[in-house]
Amino acid sequence: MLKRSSRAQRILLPLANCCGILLLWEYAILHNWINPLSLASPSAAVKVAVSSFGVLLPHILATTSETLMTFVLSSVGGILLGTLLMHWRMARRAVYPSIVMFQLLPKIALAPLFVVWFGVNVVSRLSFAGFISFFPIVLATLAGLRATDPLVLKLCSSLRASPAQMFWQVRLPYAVPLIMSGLKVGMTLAITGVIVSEFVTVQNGLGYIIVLASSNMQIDLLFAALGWVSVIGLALYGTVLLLERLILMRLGAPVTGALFQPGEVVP
Amino acid sequence: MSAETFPTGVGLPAAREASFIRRHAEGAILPIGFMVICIAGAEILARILAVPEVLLPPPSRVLTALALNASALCYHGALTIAQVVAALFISLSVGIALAMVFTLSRVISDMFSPLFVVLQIIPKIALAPLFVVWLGTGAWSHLGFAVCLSFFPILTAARAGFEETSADAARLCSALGATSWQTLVHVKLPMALPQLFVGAKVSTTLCIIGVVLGEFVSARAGIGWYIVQAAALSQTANILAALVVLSLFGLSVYGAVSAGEILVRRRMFG
Repeated sequence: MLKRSSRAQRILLPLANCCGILLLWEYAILHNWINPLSLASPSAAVKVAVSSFGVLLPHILATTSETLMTFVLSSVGGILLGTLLMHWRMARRAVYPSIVMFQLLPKIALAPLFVVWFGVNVVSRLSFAGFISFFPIVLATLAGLRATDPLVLKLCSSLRASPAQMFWQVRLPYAVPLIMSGLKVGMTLAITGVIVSEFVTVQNGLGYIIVLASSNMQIDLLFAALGWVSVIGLALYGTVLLLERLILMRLGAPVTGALFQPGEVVP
Repeated sequence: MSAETFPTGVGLPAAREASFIRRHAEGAILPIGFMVICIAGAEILARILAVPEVLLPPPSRVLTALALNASALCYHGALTIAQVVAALFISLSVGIALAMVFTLSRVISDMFSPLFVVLQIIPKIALAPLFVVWLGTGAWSHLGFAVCLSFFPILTAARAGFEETSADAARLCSALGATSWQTLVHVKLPMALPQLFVGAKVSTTLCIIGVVLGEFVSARAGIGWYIVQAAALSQTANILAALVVLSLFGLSVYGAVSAGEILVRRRMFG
């Protein structure tokens, strides 16, 4: 058993490692150890990301706004459907196995079908990304609402709490951690869905820039676009994390706040 | 609960059995009925409203497409399947090897694991075209992309499994003079198998997604290529037929991994 490392080590080592990798990368390209056609140096990527910011901005905004719209739509819809399924036992028993099985299917493969259905436009991108990110939120909401301690529910019903009171004051607060982890998965899947359908519709957004740069072999533009995608992804995920903290603090719950849980792996 | 506390139901095994069957039948009938209703609904809707076949081909039409293109679907499906299975094995070995390195050395683990977590939050799907630039348009780029997407769940699962090993067993090993490498290979790795299967299940779906998406971006064959071609020709029935093949295949790989999990659990825990 190795002993736990100190806090400084856990923060400084990854940072130093990251800087080391970037420097090595830069150096390797400077000395032509790697073909510059296949890997842009970090400095070149940053240079392009800054210098072509004006050109990239509309695409950055498109990807961000489409992701946000998708996230809002699918989280509202997912939480509502999850709540409905919790209350309506028969529908739950009919639909739940299908949803779980649906989760195992490679839904990404449906992207071209949405283009056939809705055409090359925002609607097709939003509906595909929503379709991808919706079901995990439904499942998480359902699991959260059903995870209430049965003893607490028994106590409430013996205190003659109305069903509405039980829902708002007991079940929902108990469900918050699971719902929020569903929302984290949903956010990552929303941006994934938006980018995949930008690959397929090739109209605008950072996914379009990535496909374009790769077919023109503009490797520095490709890396600049990947950098922006990462920044957007991290910022949106961070927003959901912040939201989670705020809600948990508001509820007075202990903030467990793991950044990442193994169950919520997404492409 | 009440049936066990009060002796009312004890003397009636037939009645209990009937309720057992009914309960399970209800559990199966409702989901299957729901699916049948959905498919029948699509069929009726498509026929009555005369929806253009491009938008919503009736399920019977999809079946016909499946039968007509059986040989093409088999050929492309087999290519994709071979790549998915290869990707799953590669990401199993990569994930387990990384987890072993991280377990053996705290410093390396501290250096790299935060980077992997951050990489996990970034939409890695955006990297698909990059693999085309690196590895060309063939199977290698699909394999590379699929492994890049899917090794992470195995890495986390393996680390969780290694850490779960009972402290007593680890202490016994070190008391018997085993090196940490021996402890890892002979004690921790077998004990981590149940966790590994959990990771492998997640990974399976990601491997399929990776290979199919790689084929979307660049390919000359494979199910992903077939879907893109059919979409370009607006042959919706063919897209859906390809999806049926893909789904059946995905479920069978998942089933195989689950069967392996059950076998291992039985052998380990009786």
